[in-house]
Amino acid sequence: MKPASDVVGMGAVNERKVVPHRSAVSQRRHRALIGIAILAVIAVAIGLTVTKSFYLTMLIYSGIFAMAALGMTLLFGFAGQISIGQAAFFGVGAYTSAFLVMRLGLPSWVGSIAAIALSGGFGWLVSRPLLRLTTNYLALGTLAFGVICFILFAQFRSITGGLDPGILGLAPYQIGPWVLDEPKRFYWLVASLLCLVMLLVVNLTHSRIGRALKALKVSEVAAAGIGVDVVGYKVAVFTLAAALTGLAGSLFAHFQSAFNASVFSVGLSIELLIMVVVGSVGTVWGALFGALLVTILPSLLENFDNYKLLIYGAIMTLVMIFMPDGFGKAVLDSIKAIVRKGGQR
Amino acid sequence: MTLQIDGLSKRYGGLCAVDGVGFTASPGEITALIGPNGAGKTTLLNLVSGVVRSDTGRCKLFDHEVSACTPHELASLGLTRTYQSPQLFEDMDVLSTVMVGAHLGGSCGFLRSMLRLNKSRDDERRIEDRARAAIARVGLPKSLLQRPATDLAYGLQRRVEIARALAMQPKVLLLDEPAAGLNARETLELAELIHDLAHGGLIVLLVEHDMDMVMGYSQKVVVMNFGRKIAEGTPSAVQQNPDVISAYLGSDTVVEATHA
Repeated sequence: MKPASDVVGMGAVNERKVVPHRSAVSQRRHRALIGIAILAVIAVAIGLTVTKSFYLTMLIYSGIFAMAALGMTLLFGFAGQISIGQAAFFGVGAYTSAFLVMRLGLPSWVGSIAAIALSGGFGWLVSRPLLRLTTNYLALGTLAFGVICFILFAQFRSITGGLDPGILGLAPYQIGPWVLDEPKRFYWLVASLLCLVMLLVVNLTHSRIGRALKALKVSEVAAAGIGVDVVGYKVAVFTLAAALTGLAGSLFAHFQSAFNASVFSVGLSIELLIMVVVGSVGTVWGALFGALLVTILPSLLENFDNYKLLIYGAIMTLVMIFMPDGFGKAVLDSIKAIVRKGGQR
Repeated sequence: MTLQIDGLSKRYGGLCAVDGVGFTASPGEITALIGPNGAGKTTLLNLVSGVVRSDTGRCKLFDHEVSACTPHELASLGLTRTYQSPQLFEDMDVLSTVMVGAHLGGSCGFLRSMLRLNKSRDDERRIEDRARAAIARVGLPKSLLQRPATDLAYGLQRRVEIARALAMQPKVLLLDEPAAGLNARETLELAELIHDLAHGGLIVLLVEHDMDMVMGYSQKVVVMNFGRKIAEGTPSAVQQNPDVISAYLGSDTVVEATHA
């Protein structure tokens, strides 16, 4: 039998040759890395200049939700598997941190790692039965899962404190000697973790795994036919999304210090989904823009009292009508257009 | 080193789509599978490629029992296929699409890809090289690499699909009506490509309605009708077979009746 590479003519020759030019594929990845660098610079600039804790608080919430939304982008935007039950993993992350830090007296970062592991493990466990469903049925299945978990959070009062009083007085995040008790300090943790998560996600989406996820979204049969383990990858991406959501939940718990089960209702799951859809499902940047918009918009509309939700709904609808690819994609496209214009001059 | 199919059957309710079909496909040869519409050709391809599980019968690939294998397990053994209507990935350009075909050229999982260790970088380079080689092999112009695959003309989409299959560096290639929707020149180019691939040592199983291509290029022809194998042999032998003639043209009495 001939070696398989001989079958594809020049394959054997090409594999040893070093590609002289940077290929379009790696160029795309490099652009994304530049994007992350810009994000980091902006984050540092904001951290150094913005002092009003209201703004920082908004940005911290945006960053926390963006991490969960990034998981959702991978799961829904890339692999095409919808979930309306992510609040469950957010809750598992939050309660894991609270339990480990308050009851066992462990450091915050141990709580966060445990939150990632536990929510990821939980996601892995439920993904096998859930992912037997597809499309609308998967949406309903995950919705039901989210509702069940919400009820469990509300009823397991010995661990969660239920709806009242919930968790009270969780200590601020502490890393070694640094106590991140003010928004100004906690901001740096969230910003750096967000950049890190972003980097990991961008690496993933520009790898064989990312392409395989995109492929199985369109045609599971075709993806399987060229060697993509469709079931395994769906389970893995569900687990990854759950783990990222767990991390977000853990940070949320510390920042809030006091919270109860009502946070982790279906409303949160839907909000995470809205962030990804409004932000743009096709790109990882959509999660950032979506999280920012969905977090900040309601507080900007605070003055409208009774009309707040009406205006919020109208804005969301307009975004979907005029930016069908999402708010994030529209922003990125206009930035690209400006850069191109500048380059021509 | 052959693909051995033995007594494969698949029943859909009262309909026996494939009924005890068996034959052997050898490397270096094009084995064509023909038959009138509804004969069960595509179902047989689905059984062999693991998309559909067979009721009875066995499939042996290089002496491995593969009847119970899933498509991705078969792919790792070197078997892949194309589809009757191209199954391309929307929103993905030609190069990326073919790079998905080279998926098994890498081995980094989720964690290593996220951390982008050296191994993952090597994976990416190898996958891209393989994809470019496969694209060159099927004669797709380089100017199309960045175009969304689903935007291309039909004939080019078929080439992308074959390139994607080749990027896997397969040992067995199942082609489901690759010439459907192609014009005469495109069909000829495709036939030459498939001939060359088989000549290079590939097992090619070809389902096709284009008789010029089947009779001109295949070394072995298997004829199916109503789920059963009715003939097997060289193209010339099959063309003389009375059962084959009656399957395609109807028996004498029917021919007379329609002429009357």
